Amino acid sequence: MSEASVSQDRWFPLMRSEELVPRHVAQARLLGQEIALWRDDAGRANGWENRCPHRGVRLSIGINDGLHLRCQYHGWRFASGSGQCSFIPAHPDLVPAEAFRAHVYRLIERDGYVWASLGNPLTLPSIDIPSRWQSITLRSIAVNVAVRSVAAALDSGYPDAATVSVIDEFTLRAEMTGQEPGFVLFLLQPMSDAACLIHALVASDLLPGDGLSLLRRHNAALTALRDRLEAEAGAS
Amino acid sequence: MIRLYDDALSGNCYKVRLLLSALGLGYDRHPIELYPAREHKSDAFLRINPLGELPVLDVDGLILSGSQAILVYLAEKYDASAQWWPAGDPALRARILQWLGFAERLNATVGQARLHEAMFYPGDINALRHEAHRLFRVLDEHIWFAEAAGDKFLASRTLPTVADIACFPFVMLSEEGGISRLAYPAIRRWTDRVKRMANFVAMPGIFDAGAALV
Repeated sequence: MSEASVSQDRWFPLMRSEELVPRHVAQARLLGQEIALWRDDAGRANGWENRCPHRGVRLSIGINDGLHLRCQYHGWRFASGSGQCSFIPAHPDLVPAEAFRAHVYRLIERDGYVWASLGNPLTLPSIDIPSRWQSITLRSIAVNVAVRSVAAALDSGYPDAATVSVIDEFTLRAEMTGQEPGFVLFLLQPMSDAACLIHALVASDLLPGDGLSLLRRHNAALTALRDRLEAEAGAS
Repeated sequence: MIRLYDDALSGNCYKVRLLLSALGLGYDRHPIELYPAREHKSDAFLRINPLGELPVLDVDGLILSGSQAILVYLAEKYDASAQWWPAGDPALRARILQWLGFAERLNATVGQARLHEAMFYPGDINALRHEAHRLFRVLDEHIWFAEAAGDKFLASRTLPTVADIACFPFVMLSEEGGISRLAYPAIRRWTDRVKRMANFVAMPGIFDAGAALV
């Protein structure tokens, strides 16, 4: 798969919602594009091209003041939502031109994730979980191999999975036996041609009260998968 | 009187400045230029520290080298609250010592990669970066599960210790060695928490995080 061959008009999860904490700027990559992710004090998540429109400095080293993202280099402030520059410290009386605007990507929060699209998707991302079931999102794991290799490896099996089915090239579902009967949904985020992020959630009608051991168990399974794939690819 | 033999660009000296600031201690800064002057290898400095390394701390004639040892000394001697080097909990002290050892590994990988890129030190840059990423994966996983358990810092639940100060500089300076932190979201959140410690000071290449949401 090359970056160019992937449809831009679909949603990809970038991060678990609870990890995008206030007054923080996270850094993500989707299909080769770097994205600065930040949440304003009203709770709204922003995903912008990771590049200040002034001098090109990465916005992910900037400061989230709760209303704006402030570039670390010259202090230009860009407003949550629009990305419009609202203040230039070197010219405090100037109303910044409309062209001074961060490039804003489509972003939506659903089902415990922040999702982004580089294009114009027609539908919303959705995860079907039976009513009365619970779900828990796992620690996302970055792997330095192409998304296709990760999908193929998951398709060939996952610990305690009775079967694994491919929903589409970025989504797989494992039907689970064992301690939490239900399913694990794998959502693959292509970071580049050579790296992807495995997001995953467990859905079950029998989740443990303290999820920490479940989180550790799946984290161990996914990091083992990562290490094996990277060793096979000589990429580790 | 406390005197610090110091270079503004040294991550290991920066650790000591961070703790001195956190403890509110005044000190005399004695600059020793690493690059390009290589003053740390001069005869005069080798008489102070035969290893030819910064930082060196001189406290009323007591000469100490090794940034981790200096941190522990300053915390034990001057921190009446025992926040930075807590007493009375052997497991906690052992965990902190593990992170001080981890900080040495960061120095030997991330720190060396940075010196290779910025100051033309010798070294196998690909091997250094590879090992640095391996350490960052360990650190990110540790912090992620610490957060899941409600902990904010490397070794203790609510307050930073010398463990956080020792590991922070070479994590933050990694980009100067060509080591991206993009794939380590939990590390990135932890560095914001360290930057928001009371009396935090920056250094060239490390910026403030801005105010936390209160």
